[in-house]
Amino acid sequence: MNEYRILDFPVWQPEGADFAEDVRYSVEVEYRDRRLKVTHSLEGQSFIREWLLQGTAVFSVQLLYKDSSERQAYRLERNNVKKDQGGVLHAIHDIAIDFSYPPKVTPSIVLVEQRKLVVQHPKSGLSSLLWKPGEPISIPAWARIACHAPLDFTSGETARLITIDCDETMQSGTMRTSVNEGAAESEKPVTLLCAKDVYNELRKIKQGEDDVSSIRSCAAALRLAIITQALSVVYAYMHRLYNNNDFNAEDINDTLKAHLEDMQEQTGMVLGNENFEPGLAATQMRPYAIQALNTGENE
Amino acid sequence: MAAPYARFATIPWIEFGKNLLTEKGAQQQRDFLQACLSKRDFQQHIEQSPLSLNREQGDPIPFSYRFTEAEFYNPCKDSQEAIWNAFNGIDKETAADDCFWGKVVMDMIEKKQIEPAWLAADGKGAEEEGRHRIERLLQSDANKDTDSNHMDSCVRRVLRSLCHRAPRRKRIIFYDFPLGRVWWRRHWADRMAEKLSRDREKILETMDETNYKLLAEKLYSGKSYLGADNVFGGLLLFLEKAPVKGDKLKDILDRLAYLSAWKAIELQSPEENCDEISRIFECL
Repeated sequence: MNEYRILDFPVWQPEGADFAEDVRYSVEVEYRDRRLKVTHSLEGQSFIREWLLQGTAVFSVQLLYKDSSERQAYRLERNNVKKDQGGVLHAIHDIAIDFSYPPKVTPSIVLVEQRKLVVQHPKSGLSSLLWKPGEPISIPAWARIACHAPLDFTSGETARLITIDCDETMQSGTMRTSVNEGAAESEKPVTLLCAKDVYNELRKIKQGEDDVSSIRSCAAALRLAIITQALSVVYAYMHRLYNNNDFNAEDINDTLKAHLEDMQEQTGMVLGNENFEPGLAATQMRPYAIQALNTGENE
Repeated sequence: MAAPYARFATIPWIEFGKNLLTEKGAQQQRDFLQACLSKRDFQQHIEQSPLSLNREQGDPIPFSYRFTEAEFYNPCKDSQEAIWNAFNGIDKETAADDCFWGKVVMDMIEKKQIEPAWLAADGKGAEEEGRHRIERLLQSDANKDTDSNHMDSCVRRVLRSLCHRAPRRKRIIFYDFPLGRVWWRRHWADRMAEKLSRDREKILETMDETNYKLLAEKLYSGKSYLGADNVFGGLLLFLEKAPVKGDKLKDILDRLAYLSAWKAIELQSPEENCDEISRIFECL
């Protein structure tokens, strides 16, 4: 076996080296009205393509509903696999969802019975660097022969991060930012609890009144500053968790995690670093935040 | 949420727990534990917190079973049946919601099904255990590190019994919180009885309290792969044949996780997974 191989059979993976470059497995996911549509596409000549057409390999998805650790698995049989004019194979899962939030989706192509393969270039679709012509390969039943990266509906958009609530008992002009780092996937991890006047101002951002590229009034600038202040509290809170070793990535809400990754990428500042400045990071994130609040769904 | 059941609003509920854990041994923890000693004080404490204003209305679930202290912490067969009969109609999303279960426990206190002091019991079996634990702590010296730690650990125990996520995130629902533990164990037993065409009691026997503890930790961790019916079913079939427990079972579950990385065990039948697990067991 070649020393660069991990398994003794080839597996298509994003960035993987087992297959020739023209062999591509891609998946698109849509979620609407509690239905999930997963479209698999396989391009290029390969043994996977042959086996999918013969029915000894199947397109499959695993769904994970994180809050209750519910895993569901689905497979598509041969009669669901269609060939387009360019010869690309497609198959579509249409799945009814029984939770109020979309799952994490992990697609793969799975071999349903043990098969033997003799490497032929270019027919097998394998990379000639790792696989020698004439080499016999045995692949066990239920092996994942193509693995796609997990897909989810999480983004770091501020609109998905923040809920704005009004508390009429609060003193005018005040606001409280609350971070719930362990929020369930159906919840937003940050809440801005605002006095009525602050709430009314923030509603204007949500209604799309502010244009980030040209701020024309003091009120618009003030609204932007409110979001900056809230993000600053969020970053300071997460920075403290990180420094207190309370930051267990597995337990952090996915939206918040994605937002923090975006923040680190956009600002170049790293959570937990000695020179991390929450306020400065929030200032640099502000235009993004406003844009997201304008365009994203909120409440 | 998916189902219209009464629950606490999420943010006040989270803040209620977080505030209690801000500082070990603080006056806030002391006041809270003091309030747990009487129903009236406990309710007053809740009424003065943001929780009283933030309840999401929904259908009440009729539940009137009166527990003993030991039974609340560790429900016996009768109380398990009573819990399941009351709550079997809720959906999985509600059953994984601590804001829902928290409201259920508060209502149980209101209806005198349990006493607030019992929330502090940690299952050592003695009657009045929760009350004794709280009283002992209230007499201790808050300035001593060890006493502050004990007080904090008691407050955490109360929060777990209230199904609050603050001490250990939402995985509390599935094991630490007694009603959640009963619901989820029974849910899996019914689901697997149907999948494997087995008697539910037989499944519950295989998935006894000790095994369930370990399985729950794996099932509800971020790396869960057991949650697929075919995998869980295969494991139960294996445990029927070979009643493995403790570290051996943990080793099997860890090796099964490595296997799932390259093999679609979620698509294999439970019988095939049972064989797979037997092979893993033989190699241990």
